[in-house]
Amino acid sequence: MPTGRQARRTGLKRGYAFGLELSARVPIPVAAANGRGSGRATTWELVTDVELASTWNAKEAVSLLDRRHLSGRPMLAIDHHEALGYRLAAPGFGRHIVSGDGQTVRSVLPNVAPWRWQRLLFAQVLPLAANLQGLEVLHASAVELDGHAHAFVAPAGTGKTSVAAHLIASGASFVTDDALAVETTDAAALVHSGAGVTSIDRSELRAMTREGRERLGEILGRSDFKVQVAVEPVPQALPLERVFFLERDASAERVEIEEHRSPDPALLLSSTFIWYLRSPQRLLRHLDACARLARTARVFHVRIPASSPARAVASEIEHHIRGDR
Amino acid sequence: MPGTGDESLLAATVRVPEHVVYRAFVKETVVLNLQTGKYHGLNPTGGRMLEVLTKAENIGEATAKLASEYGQRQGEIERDVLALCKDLIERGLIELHSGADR
Repeated sequence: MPTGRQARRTGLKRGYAFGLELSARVPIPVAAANGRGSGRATTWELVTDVELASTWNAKEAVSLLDRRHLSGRPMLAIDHHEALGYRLAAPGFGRHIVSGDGQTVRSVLPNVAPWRWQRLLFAQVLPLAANLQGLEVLHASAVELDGHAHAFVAPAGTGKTSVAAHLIASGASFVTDDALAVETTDAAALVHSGAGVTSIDRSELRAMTREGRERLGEILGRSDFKVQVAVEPVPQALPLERVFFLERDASAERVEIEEHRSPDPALLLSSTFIWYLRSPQRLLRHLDACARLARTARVFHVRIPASSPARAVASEIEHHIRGDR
Repeated sequence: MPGTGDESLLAATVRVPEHVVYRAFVKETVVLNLQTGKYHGLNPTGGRMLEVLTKAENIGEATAKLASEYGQRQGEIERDVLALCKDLIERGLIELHSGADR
């Protein structure tokens, strides 16, 4: 595994995402160029179909995840082989093999716009590599305000990405979208930036001012109702100060933010992103990380009326954070 | 394995199997069976009892310590501790060892 200095000497490209110091022979898209890793290195290598197939043994692999469209068409498959690692495949988005220690990613990329294959690489492949290298990954978006990270956890469709995007539009900095790499010690939880891209609803982009949209970043592409936007991630690891659990609640009359001084462990435990890894070592590390998180970060429950737009929720949360200082 | 009578249980030592771990959260202790992946929750009192039980020479010693901590008579605490032990044994989260097999 090349160190940063060796990578420079050998002409390897470098980038940082999810606490990993990435090196590759090709430019690494939308990963922070000047970030700081967590001492964990991952080599990314582009290979051909034949090369990837020759390094995988499907017969001995076990299926961990087989997500399909309503039509039954495959959406995402993740298989595990004891010796070879993890194979992730999503038709139209690429195929990857992540080594069992998370130090190597070998990829076959489809001939599509880069932002399309980047979605699988950044939404699944690198978070898995980070987890295999010892970082916990939460299903959360996060922003930086006043030198601290603030994370948003919620079921898909609740608005965590949109809330984070509106906070960035109004002056916060981007940490990650959807997958948050966390490094916990007894004293603190540190979060590492994800890849510099966010996938937000078109309607949320339209709800921003022109200045807000410009702050967010350049549009990379559009799919269905989503817009892929390049965002500059904060380069350094940050202490995780607050975790907001967002919940749409039809009975709520206004956005209510309540601190949980003794957060339900189940809330934290179930916010994991890499839920399909169930080895004893991984389960233990996950429990350790959540127990430390409960002690080192402040946890809030945000009840959101059904009709409240993400912009209003973001405004309440920003007010809450700034007003609390 | 000691007998199941209360006297016999009080003389037994509690051990947490290697495949079971527990961690204290703010107001709950989570016990995890690493073989099954199943999580179990204990309230703060249950969590404290488990902690003391695993450090004491035997359950009797643990109940004496807990009675002193909670300012209760040992007989009252004993009932709760033994009930907890029986529950944790049923769930495979602790094992009891008699003096002979320590």
